Amino acid sequence: MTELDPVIHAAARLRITATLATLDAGESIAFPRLQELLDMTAGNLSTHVRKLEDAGYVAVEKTHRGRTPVTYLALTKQGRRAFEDYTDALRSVLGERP
Amino acid sequence: MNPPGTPDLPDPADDDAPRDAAAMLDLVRSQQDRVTRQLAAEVPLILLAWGIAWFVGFGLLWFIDGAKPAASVPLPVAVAVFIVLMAGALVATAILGIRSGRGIRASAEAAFTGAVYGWSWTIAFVAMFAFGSALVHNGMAPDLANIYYPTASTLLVGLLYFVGGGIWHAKPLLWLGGWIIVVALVAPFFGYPTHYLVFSIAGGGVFLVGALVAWLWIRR
Repeated sequence: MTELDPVIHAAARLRITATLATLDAGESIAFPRLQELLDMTAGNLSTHVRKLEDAGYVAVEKTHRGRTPVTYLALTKQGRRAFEDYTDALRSVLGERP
Repeated sequence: MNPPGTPDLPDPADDDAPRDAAAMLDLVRSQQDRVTRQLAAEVPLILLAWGIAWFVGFGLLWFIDGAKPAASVPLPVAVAVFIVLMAGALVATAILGIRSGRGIRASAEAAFTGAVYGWSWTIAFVAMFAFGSALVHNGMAPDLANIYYPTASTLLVGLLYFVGGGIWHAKPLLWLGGWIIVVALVAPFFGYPTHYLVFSIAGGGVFLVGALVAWLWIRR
């Protein structure tokens, strides 16, 4: 059996990664909207995003919209690949099409 | 994680512990499905706004002469309500569209595609009205203008939806666009005022059915 990526192989981080993977490459999402789509607390989301960021899977960009600070999140190329590899690994474990 | 007695218990899905492969794959699918539906949350309302505008708006235009002598709506009333409903649906689409895209920043490529697509609508309608004015200027009778404007508008709406379906790989938009093109091709053969009834029922109807289908799909 293939080793499953421990960064993604945790329910909360898998949900975050799966959500970010629904965006097109080059798109990013503001922290509060992501929080809404995941129905997670801000603290919980931050903790897991930090782990994904440390692994190089998520890019965090802090910017301003007018005077309010906004944080945009997106999967990196590496993160998108890791997510695809992870779901492929799950499918092959389950005997679904590769 | 939470100290004992904290009211907001952590969601079970926030748990760090890995589960078995089938459960994890289910989690991916259910989360992505949920996101797709949440991002489409405004679609039924947008379709409903256009459904009402077409059904009632074109219905009233038909009522100017269509149900005589039993009933008739004065022309200025029908035209005014038609314009208000169409403008209202346009405003509703803009507001709901902005709402559904809140917090999502498009890539430069997607922003370009969206801007060009938006301008295509403006250019198409300005050109359609300019062409109509030129026809009137060259002697097109008011009877024919009554056929030309709604038919040309409907044809453009159908074509632009169809193209949008291709750009965003949205099959429902292809079907909607294709149907509206057919409505535009068929309606003028019914002549005035029955063509308005065709736009109202077949055109407005498809938006109303679409709103219902989208609403059921999101809620399932």
